[in-house]
Amino acid sequence: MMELLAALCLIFVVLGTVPTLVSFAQFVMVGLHGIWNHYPKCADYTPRVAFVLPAWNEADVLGASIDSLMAIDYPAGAWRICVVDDASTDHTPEVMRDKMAQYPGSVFHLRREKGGQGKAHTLNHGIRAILDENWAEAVMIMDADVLFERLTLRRMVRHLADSAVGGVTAYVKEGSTPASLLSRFIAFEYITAQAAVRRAQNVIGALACMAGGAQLHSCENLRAIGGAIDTSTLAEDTYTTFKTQLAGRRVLIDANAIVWAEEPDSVTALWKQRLRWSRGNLQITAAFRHLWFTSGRLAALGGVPFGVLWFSAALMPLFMILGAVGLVGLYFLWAPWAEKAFAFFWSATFVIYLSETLFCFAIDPVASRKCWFQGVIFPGLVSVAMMAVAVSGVKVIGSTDRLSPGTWSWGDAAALLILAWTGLSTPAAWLVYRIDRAGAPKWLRNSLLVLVGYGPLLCAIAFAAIIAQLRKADLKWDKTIKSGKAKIQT
Amino acid sequence: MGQDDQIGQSQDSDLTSAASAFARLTAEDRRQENRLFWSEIGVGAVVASLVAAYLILM
Repeated sequence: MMELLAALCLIFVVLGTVPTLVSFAQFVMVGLHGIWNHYPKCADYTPRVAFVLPAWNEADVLGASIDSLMAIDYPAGAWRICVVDDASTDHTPEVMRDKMAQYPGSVFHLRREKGGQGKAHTLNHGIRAILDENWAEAVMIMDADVLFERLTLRRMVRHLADSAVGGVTAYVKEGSTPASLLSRFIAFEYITAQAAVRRAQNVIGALACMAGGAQLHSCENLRAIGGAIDTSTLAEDTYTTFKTQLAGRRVLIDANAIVWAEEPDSVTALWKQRLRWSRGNLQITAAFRHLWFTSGRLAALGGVPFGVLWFSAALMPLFMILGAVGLVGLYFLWAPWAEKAFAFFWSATFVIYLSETLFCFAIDPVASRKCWFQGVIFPGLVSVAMMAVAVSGVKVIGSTDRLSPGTWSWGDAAALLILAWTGLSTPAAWLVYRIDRAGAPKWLRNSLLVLVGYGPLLCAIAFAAIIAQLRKADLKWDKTIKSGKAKIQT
Repeated sequence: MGQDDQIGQSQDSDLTSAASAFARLTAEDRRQENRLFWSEIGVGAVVASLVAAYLILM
């Protein structure tokens, strides 16, 4: 019986490494994007593009976004900006009046008198008007605070020359100025999650999400998916990405096309934003339940590689908890095995962490110069220390074969804490959120975040999303407040 | 300001054809993807060497 339980614990430890191994597999594919990419099918194509910007009380950021869009390098008269004002109560109408006067014939203001239904409804109001007008050949769905570099649109539209492509997204970079510890963490996260992982998804042939901040669709594609975007989930951008691919068109990222956005500057705001994203992804997991692991019959989205990627991310907290349960269980059943499993788990994690961090620095050296420290401590100082312990071979776990109730010591308690850290980091990250929410000073929040790690924080949010979905908690659209801090950085 | 002013800018850029601008941009991006391929090989080689050295020395 003991042997059986010990074997089960070993299986849990191996399962605990799944998200790390899957992440590594994705990173291997990033390099292959140098060989398998869409550039050979690109052509010099400059369709008429309508930008649609949903705006609810965006007076602080709208002017800069419109200015950046009007400064792009694109054939004159071939692009328009349509701001859909979701019954704003701030100075958005005044800003729009000024911008329409400044850029006559290029900037348009659509106002909804009754708003508050969320971003998807607002976007649909604009998309309907654009499709009815029949002027545009492509539509760029974006956020009101996003800033476009001069050549971003040119980089994106060239892929639409291939009629098999329905949508293209860009690399969204964190552009808050001045940068904070949290914004630098997000900047590094975006190197991994967008510049790296989405390139890998280009190679697989299935993209999980075209970022809502820069989502270019051919009008033909928008009409094919019903002429509107989904309003039933919290992740309308992911839903649209899935529908496009299921309708038979490719979507891809051009990671050399860059846009800049302002991301949350507090753990509380980040939690709110990411909880919405994570719950949206879980809704999508359920909405497309017929799709998973169907061996590619339903586009590459249904293939095993994409299914593994999707579920390893969606269920990451559960894998981490299983890993911790496995290590702790082994400690009780057979301590020497726990030591070996601990060394295997954290050494493998270290090799992958080192490879991925170094490669991220190579993928975006400009951004990495600003956020290298956050890259190094992304998993948290505690986890980095665990890796150091595992690699150095220092013994932190006793060599007693089996623990009996009478032999407990402080050393055992410390060993259990160390073994359980992959699971404990999730509630620890949740505590950081609660402390931030309670109004703790920034230095305390930042110190705890460095200690616990940004990765575990994302894991905690994913866990909270699973709980919220199981509890069927209220679904509501919580807007992320933007203050206009984002700047295009070179 | 606005797109009307950019007509002037586009006259300048007409000197070099739009097609060559596209080719230049795409070539630049393909070089970047190629660089990432070799960077990955480089990172892989460095990490593999470190792991090998570690296993030999331990």
